[in-house]
Amino acid sequence: MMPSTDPEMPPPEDDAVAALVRLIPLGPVDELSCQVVAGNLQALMDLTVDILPPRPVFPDAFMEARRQFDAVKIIKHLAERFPGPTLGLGLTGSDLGTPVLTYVLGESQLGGRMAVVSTYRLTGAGAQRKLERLVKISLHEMAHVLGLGHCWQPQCLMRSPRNVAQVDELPLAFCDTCRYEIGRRVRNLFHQIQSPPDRS
Amino acid sequence: MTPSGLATLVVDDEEAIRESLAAWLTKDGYRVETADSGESALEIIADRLFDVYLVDIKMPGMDGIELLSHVKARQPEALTIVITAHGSVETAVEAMKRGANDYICKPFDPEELSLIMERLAATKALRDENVSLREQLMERHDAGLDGIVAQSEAMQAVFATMEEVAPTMTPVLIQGETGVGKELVARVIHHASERSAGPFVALNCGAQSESLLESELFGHERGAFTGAVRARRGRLEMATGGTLFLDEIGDISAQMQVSLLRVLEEKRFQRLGGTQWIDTDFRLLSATHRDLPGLIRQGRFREDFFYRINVIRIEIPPLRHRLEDVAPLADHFLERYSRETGKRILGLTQRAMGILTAYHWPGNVRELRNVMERAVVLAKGQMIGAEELSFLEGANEPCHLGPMSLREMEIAHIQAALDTCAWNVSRAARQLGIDRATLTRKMKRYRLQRP
Repeated sequence: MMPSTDPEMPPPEDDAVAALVRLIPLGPVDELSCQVVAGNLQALMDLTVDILPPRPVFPDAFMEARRQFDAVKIIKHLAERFPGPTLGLGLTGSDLGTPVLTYVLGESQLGGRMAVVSTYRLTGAGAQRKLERLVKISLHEMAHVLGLGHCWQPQCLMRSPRNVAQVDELPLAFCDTCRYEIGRRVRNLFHQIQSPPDRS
Repeated sequence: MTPSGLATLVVDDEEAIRESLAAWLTKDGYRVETADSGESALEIIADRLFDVYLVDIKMPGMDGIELLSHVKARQPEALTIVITAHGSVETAVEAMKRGANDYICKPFDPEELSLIMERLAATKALRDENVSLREQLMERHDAGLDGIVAQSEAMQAVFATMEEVAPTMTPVLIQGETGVGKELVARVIHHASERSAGPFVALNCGAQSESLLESELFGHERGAFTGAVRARRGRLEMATGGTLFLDEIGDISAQMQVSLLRVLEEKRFQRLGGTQWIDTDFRLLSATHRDLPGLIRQGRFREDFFYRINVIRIEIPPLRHRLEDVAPLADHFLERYSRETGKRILGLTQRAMGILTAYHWPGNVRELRNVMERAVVLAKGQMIGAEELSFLEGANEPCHLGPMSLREMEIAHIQAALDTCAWNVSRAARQLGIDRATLTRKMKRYRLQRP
């Protein structure tokens, strides 16, 4: 795992290898959850992760009438706050919804840069199960960020889970095709981050 | 049920709703476009239609109900869902009465939205299957031996071979010029075989680029190449339990011949980009207008592949070699196109039939079919005369023999009859209406010898 960096903090040394993903805890999120998600992103998707210090959830994303945060708004804020090619994954304990959906476990920009995942609805089956669910949803959303749509292979994490029970049925693995595609896109991302386009 | 890339139009004046819904549907594999009003939706569908329409009921300007009426008027089979806010269910009921397939109150429960979309995808798949089954039924109706119109001896011999080989699993190579009806013959063999309950899968190998042909035949996994956004079954897979018909097999590359040979021998293959073996069980019928032995001699066709596909060979003679089939074929097409166009046409005049039988028919039965279709469209009266066939090249000439003496004419006519009957003297004599001895005498006199 990379040492923590924040865009508001001094940039890393020249010889340091930049992480491909920033993991951004939004509100109180336990450190273990962050580390387990980061470890699995690295192990299963080859995404190096930099865990940032926690920051509050963006207050204007709160939907008063629904007592939820708007995941789409959070993603927009994250993209503005963290520019550049590095991907971002927000992690929150608050409940998330979108303007069209009554709730979401996670939300992401398909082929974009940002995703956000909530642990709010993952409880009820013990700490271990909650962590497993969090990891699966985080990896699923980050694969969307890399541009992958839902997959119809039965044994693939990119199947579309409709509820928490279906998340439990998902394997913590991608099918061959999705794995190949993730590898290809992560390599592209790596080259993009290591050699950013010349803006002169 | 997979959404199979259903084309979906989301119409909502609220940008946040439009974008969220489009993003959610795109991740699930739908091809999504959006419109911010009923008016702009109408502009979009003036150009192209969609499978599914998700329409907000309450919009400034044209509301969802009005848009729905326009969509249904233009595309009655369109699948439509109306989006409504809580508390306006009555309007949604009104929309359902006007033909909407379902309604959903925003914000939606993700499971509810998934279920509705899956139900629509299932409805669409069922409709498509119905259309496909209906087409197959029509094809079946045409695909019996009755579907081939021919009374010439040459074609009777073809029928006999077809009946003999149909029940077996033997590969058949159908040889013949373009337009003689090779695919029709293949369909008849399939429908007369024990695999008739299985699919008949046809592919024209000549009309495809190398890479497209490979993907068409073998299918591909998702991400196998740029643009392979989802896995796709190939024709080899689709033909399992039935018959695979490869038209223009003489046009495929040597590399593709090797790949196909391997499938025929191992009875299994892998999709492009795939690692899993897929078992196949199909009967191969192939067709070509090319001289395959000639291509083998030139090193352009593999001999081992040729022997594999050419276990039984059926040669369909060109129409100019069986001119006695022209009249029944012309009548058959006349009847078909009269029925289709609703014109009451009783038949062809003697002169018109004379023009048809004197014609050379380089495009074979397909050309005759097109000629008859055009003649029916042009026909002004109840009979098709020479006038309606004036577009046929050389139709106004009584025959193609040019200015000739009677003797020259007789020689050419006897020669043509012998060619038509593959130099079977008895058959040619019957066709000419003279006895065998007379024909033999004339052949000797005019020094006509078998080529």
